[in-house]
Amino acid sequence: MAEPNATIAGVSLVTLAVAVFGPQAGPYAVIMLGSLGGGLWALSSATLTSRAEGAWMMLRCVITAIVLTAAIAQTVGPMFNYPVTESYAVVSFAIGMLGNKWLEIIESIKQRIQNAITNGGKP
Amino acid sequence: MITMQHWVWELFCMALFYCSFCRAVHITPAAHLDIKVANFLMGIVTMLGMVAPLYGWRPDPIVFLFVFSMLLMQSVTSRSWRNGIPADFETVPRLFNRRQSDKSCS
Repeated sequence: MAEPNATIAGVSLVTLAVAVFGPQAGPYAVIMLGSLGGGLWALSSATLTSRAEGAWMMLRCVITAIVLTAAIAQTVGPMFNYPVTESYAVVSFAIGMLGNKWLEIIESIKQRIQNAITNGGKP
Repeated sequence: MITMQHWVWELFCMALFYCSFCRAVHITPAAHLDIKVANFLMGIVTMLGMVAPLYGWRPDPIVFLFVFSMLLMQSVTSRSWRNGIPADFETVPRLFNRRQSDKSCS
């Protein structure tokens, strides 16, 4: 008897990952995949001299995504009426794409806070 | 059921992802956008290929041949990338040597 080509079409990646890897590891598998994909773009945008340096940068992207994805997804998901767990892949991809630019983002946030404190209360 | 076919498919996808990774390491901010995008897409598609069998998809012999030929093409053209991104792929020529091995022995 011929097997169907797609037995679980329409199931989200997170649901599938939970089914395959379990409820604890499933979301992290999706986060890792997403951050690896985004990290590829960050690699192309950086000037690196060796594959070891590239691998280290990818590892940093993945670790950053593992740490920050849940928190960011919980903030961003409700804003767009999107289930939080379903947005893990997109958020981790975006975090991976940022690569080495986190320092610039932190500086930018710091500057905005400083401006807000400096200009706070003044017309 | 995981078959030998699945293992070979995953191996092909991982090898292609590795090709994409190696080229991404060499690609600089001065590279043409189409080179960056093409390499990036290849990496993304190979990752999708790794995940696709989980959805019940099975590659057929023609798809195997396609991916194998892509892998072969990446392998033979890798010699152009031995000293970094080929000059034609950059918008501005590199004005500095990036690695110790690039410097002459004189």
